[in-house]
Amino acid sequence: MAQFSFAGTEGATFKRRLYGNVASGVSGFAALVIVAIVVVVISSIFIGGYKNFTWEFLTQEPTEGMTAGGIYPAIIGTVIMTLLMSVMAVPLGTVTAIYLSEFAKANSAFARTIRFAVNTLASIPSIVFGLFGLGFFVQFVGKGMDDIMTPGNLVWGQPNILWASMTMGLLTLPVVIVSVEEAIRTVPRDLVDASLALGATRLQTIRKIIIPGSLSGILTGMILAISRGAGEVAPILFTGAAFFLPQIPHALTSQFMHLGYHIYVLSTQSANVDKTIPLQYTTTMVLLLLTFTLNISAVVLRSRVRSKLKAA
Amino acid sequence: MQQKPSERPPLTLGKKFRFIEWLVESGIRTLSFISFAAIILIFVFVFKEASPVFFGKSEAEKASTKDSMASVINLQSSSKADTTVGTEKVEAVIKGKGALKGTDVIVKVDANGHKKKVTTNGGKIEQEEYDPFADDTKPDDTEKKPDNTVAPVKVSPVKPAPDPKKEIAKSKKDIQDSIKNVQNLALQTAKAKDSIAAAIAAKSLVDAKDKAEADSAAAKEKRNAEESKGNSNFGKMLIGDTWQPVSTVPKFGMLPLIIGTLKVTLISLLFGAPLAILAALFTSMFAPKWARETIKPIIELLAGFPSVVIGFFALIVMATIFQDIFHYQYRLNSFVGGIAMSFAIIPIIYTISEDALTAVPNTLRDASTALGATRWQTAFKIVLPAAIPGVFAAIILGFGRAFGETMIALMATGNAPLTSANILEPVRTFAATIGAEMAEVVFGDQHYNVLFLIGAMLFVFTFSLNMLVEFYVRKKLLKRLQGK
Repeated sequence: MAQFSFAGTEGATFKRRLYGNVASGVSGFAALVIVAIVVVVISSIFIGGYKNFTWEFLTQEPTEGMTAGGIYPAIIGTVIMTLLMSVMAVPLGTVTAIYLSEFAKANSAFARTIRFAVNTLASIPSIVFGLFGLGFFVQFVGKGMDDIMTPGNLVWGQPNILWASMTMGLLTLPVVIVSVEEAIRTVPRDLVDASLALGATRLQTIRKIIIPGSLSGILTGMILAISRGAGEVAPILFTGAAFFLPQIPHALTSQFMHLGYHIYVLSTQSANVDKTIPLQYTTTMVLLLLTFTLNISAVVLRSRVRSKLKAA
Repeated sequence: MQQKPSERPPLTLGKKFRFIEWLVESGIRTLSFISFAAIILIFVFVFKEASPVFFGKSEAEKASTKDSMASVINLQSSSKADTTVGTEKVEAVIKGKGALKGTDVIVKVDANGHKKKVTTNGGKIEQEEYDPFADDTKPDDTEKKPDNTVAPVKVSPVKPAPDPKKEIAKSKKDIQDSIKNVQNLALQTAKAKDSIAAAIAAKSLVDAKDKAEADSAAAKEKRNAEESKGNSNFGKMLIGDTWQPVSTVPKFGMLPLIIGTLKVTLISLLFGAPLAILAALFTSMFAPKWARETIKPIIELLAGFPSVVIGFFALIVMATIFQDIFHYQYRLNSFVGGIAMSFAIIPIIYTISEDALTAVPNTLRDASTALGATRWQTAFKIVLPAAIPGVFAAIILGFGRAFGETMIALMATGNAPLTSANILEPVRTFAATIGAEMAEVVFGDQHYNVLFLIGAMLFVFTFSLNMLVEFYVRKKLLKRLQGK
């Protein structure tokens, strides 16, 4: 870059350049600090955890009062919970996204209300979802079902995997909505218009054009939702997660072990915290690996969606 | 033009009524309201469970008030397996007194009883002195566990772990002292009030032999007192400075929780917000392309960290490192918790403010550069001011996240409800309180309702922050960027 400097302005130029360097240096340093934080967190967890990371650890039950053994029930519990959760969150989120982008007028009161609700839902603290799950699903719906079906017996009116995954489904609903909506925007408008012009009804257009065109977005939403569901602990603290439960959940009414909750339990409430520190590291490492894998695949999928959006 | 409509079917333009289509479309319309409905439901049900705090007891509970005293005592004695008989009696007396004497006396007696308990403890009016007592009475207490199990293990020789046996002996002595105190008090207040019935009831309570009789008397008067005075003293209790929900005389003073939450949130904002905003400036203004394309995904990776992982890191790794560096007394405190919390809010603040910064129109930048401004001048004097509402929104949303974050606070802040301004002391936040205590409350209990009240407060708080961002900041940002 050519330097234009006029006589008598060298000092000012120097000052300006100094300021410029300081400014970019300070902001670059801030970015570096954040990157360092990420690197330190990841590396300390992986260094502490890789030694125990064996096949046995992944496939065994916790033994000796959770001071030895593996995390198999926690992994399975997490998987079942997140799958149940996505069965609920993904269709609902997709439907909402379709409504927002295809049915509602962008500035209608309905659309704005729903959009605001989605934003709010995304920012409510997760512990409030836990309270809601307890107050609504367990105490209201579950107890109500018990009163009707099996009076006097407590079947549904207590924390279980169904209520936990429904609570988590509400929590992850905004994630799905946002990514599906983004994907629907990548479907070329011409295609939709052409379909409508050929006489297809709105529903046919949605089924044959919009949903196939935004499948990757739906998938991204599902992956992100699963990643979030695998990591969140607060909503399931009192809606279904079990402290220790060696067998895997066999019915919707059974409780389950969860990786994140297992970390919390091991690191703060186990009988012998010192002895379980290697286990804690490895469990954390497994959870991190799981969420990383999910997040990275979501990022790859999403970047494909975004490049499509740019092309469109 | 000449054709009559009857000669050929009119163009329908897809307006033909198809039942199935209509059904599915209205289904979509209905289902899409689920998020809105969820907000309403959350609002309704969290408040519903919290409402007994304000509107007195529910009907079902009123009916069972008669047995409530006995049941409470029984429940507590059964849950606290190793409680000495002494504590139970004392607490029963205090409770009975309160119930008998109406609202004013409750406060008085409680305060006196409590104070004496503390003063016999060596004159220190510190929560620390009192906490081990609570620990001993209830070893299964979740929220105390981090202190009990983790801290002593990791603590450096500077602070030896308190000897539980000594503490028990101490607290037993305290209990005996306080029995005497309470007995005296009971007699005094009875005399002062000239109420023979009350004295009899109090004595019988002191003896604690004939629970049922006392309960019925107590329950009757309690109900009368409640009906006449409402829950005014409960409101006072909520702003008190003692949070002791699991003792037999529960105290729900929220001051320590408010202070704790604010301490952690402000520390996390003070540490995280400048870092995140500067980093956003760097990637949007100064960074070469390769740096931008490495930094952005890494920060997005941080956003994907489960909060329990950050909490674990803070609890096991960071707390030890910080203590080695700064040599403070308590291993887990609001400083450690706040820094850990900032890891959770940095990605939020970064992403939103980066979006705001890149949304600043290029014409502004170009104009600034054309006028001879350097890049840092453009960044700090043109782009940042233009995007300030967005950055503000980012900080608000980060604040909301830190305010409601549970797992990090639960694991890394030490969880002691202290009222102090020292950032190097353990604190307890609102969210952590819910997370730690909800698992072991009795459903429908006062404690249960108070926890729901805290949840409702969190909900209202984040909701209004969101409103602020949605309707005020966004509009302002749009106005600025469009040059109006």
